[in-house]
Amino acid sequence: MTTLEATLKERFGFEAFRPGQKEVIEDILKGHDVFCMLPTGSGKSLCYQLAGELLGGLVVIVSPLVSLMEDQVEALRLHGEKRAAALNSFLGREEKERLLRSLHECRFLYISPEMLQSERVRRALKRANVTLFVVDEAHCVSEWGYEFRPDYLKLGAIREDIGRPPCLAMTATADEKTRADIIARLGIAHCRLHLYGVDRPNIAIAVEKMDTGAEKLERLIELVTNLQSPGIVYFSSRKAAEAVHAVLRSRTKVRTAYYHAGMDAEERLLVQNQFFYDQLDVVCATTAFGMGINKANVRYVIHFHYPLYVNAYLQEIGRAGRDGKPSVAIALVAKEDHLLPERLIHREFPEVDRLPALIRSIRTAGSALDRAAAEAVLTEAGLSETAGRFLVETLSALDEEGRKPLHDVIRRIEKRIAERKAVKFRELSIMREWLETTGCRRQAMLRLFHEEKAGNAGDCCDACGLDLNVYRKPCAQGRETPLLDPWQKRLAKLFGCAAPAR
Amino acid sequence: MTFEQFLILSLIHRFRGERSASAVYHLLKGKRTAQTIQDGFLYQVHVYFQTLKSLTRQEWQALMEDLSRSGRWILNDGNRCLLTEEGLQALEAARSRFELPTGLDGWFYGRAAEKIWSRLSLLVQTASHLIAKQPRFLPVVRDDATLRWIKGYLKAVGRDREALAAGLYNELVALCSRFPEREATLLSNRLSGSGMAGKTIDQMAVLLSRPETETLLWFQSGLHRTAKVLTAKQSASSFPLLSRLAKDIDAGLTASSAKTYELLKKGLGVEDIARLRRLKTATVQDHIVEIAFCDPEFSIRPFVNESAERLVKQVLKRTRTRRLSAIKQALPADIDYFHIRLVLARMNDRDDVGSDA
Repeated sequence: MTTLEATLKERFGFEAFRPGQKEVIEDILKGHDVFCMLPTGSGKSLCYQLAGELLGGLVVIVSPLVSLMEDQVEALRLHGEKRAAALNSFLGREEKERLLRSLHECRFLYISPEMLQSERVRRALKRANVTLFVVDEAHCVSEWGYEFRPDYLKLGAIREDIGRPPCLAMTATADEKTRADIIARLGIAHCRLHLYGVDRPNIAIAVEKMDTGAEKLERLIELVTNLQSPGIVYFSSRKAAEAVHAVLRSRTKVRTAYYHAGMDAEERLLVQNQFFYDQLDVVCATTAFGMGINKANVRYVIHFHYPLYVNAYLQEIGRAGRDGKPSVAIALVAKEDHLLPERLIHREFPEVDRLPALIRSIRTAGSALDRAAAEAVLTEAGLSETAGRFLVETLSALDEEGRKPLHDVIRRIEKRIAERKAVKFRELSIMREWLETTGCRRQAMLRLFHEEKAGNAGDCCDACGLDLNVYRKPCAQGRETPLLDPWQKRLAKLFGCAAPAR
Repeated sequence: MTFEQFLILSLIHRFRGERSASAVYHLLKGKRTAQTIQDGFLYQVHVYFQTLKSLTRQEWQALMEDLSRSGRWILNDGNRCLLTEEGLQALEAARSRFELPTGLDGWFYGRAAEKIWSRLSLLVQTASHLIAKQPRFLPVVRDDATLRWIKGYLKAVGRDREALAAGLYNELVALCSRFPEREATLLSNRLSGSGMAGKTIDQMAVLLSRPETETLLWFQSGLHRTAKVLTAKQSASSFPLLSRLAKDIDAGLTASSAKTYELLKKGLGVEDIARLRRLKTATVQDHIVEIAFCDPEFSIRPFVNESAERLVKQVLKRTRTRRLSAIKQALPADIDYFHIRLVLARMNDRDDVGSDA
């Protein structure tokens, strides 16, 4: 099939497919439902993007995160595909209407699961010629997983409703149980399975243990100073990301910035662009950073706080080495870090004794069915974003079954919280066990997904023996400290003037 | 004292112990309610409206807890908040360390400035990439309406890329040379272009060795000045390219007030409009006050004559209290609340409202 390669070259500028891509695309083009598990950084999105160019019509991609959607739309536009749009609750009413009216001009529509609940949206999709229904991050369907989103449960029915276009379910990591769950929930029993391992052999893995946070900070400074950049350092809290960034800035010469979801949109984009254009050596970030950032040459990922779940860990280290070159992932673990994860899990849910008051405040402001409004009420009440979304999703699912007495609703939400927390604590304990492995870390990671380690070419992990010198900068380049340009000079540079005015 | 504390203490001081601490929060956050905006004008702090838009309730609470904990600087009973003697001294002492910018005009220009900035930054980035012959880049603005708007703009302007870049460059140089050096530096360094992403506020603050929030306010001050220059009626001749960026930005009026404004522009009077729209006269007057509060170019003269305006300003200057009823009592009977509110909307720092700051 040379046409596939030709399209790949012409539209995306690549010479050859990466493992798995071509097979998935061929099955999509034949009209099969497809379940595909490809590791992060292996070009999952290319599968539906290329297929979409050949299928014509409208490709609908369900995506759980607004920032991810926007990044993907931008990435498509960067490749010259202008017919891409994102439909989510952050869009103004007029914009939404305009987009729905012009769906026929659209090739790729990214959409949040909650927008699909809208009757108006589904009617528009029914009229449009949807040729492929893509469920991205499909593991969100599964209640076994820590990323479960109740909204995902309805996707199967919604696909039926809009005329049953072929379905492509994609995820980076899902074990057997989760896979079966996804396939059943989406109603794609006859799908073609494409499973590729989660391993990324060019990323070496290391875990370093220390006694105190102060030691960890010193070690981080050492690593960031010596490792070949660019790199990402991940933190569990916004405050820590900002604080460590400040330390790196004052004690090293590396160009650093921080990034988290609490910054306003323009600031976040500036940091993303600086990183993309190699104007930064390292970004101190929360997990909000990196999704959809297609930067091929990230050389290291350091975890200053370990992630709560193995899946998240794989996603995050997967942002290194997309160009296939040797890269390294280092998790720094101090004893005091173990207190943090429990707190974070509790923060993802509303406190049980506040439930009556919170539910009442949602109902006075309107109903849980007007999600944006309900979530705003909860944020103002001091709930975390995840806790707010959880409550609104759960509450609206219950309300759809019909109005029940408050105490009944509360009892059911309490039960739900207990179940979800149990899942998350179980996943957390798996992550912690992995951090304690004494044998080969890659092997131990792969076993969690019932995979075996294939022969390893380069460095494997610290247990197998790892020489971090390989990942050092060739020499400690002295770099002049950046300064703010005087405005005359800056404007001249922006407009390519050779000399500043006057 | 941090800059944030300095800012909050300054504003508490301006409210003269007659308002609660949350009046400061709503002001900085930019809550568009009658109370917040009327307070803004009464105490002449409307220039700070919406200057810390991304401040969260939690961050605010933490700031206030810090301020309250020692109990030395402020007295706060929940309803009223005022500075202690020690707080006043600390505030005065801090004036040598921190500097508030002079170009802020948040109520009148905050909204327009935001829109103009997103258009300007995208336009500059586009022009910069066009002359570098790089048609594809990651835009600093992702909002589709703005992307479409700039596309339309480029078509309407119809200049080739060299002429566009040269024109923009000249106009931006002219604009920046009107501004204080620091504001011009912040605006220009935050702009992105080919091979150069703009700097964040935090990065610029570090490079200038100034507090982050102070830098943010200075940046906003530059934005508000920009909006003020570009929305002025006569700007089209000096800034043919840039003034277009200020086009079709609505004044942020409610729909009903906007309708009243249309009729006023057609030459109808208050009573005519009331009859035509079957509204009470008082409602139409409320609309006119709202228009005066929203549109700095709107003239209040048809409704308040010069001598009445002068009288009201004098009384506002003389009286300590900010209670409207007390102010009315100090004025002749033929001057009513409608007049006072209109004059209030036209007060500025030069007619300082008896504030001792």
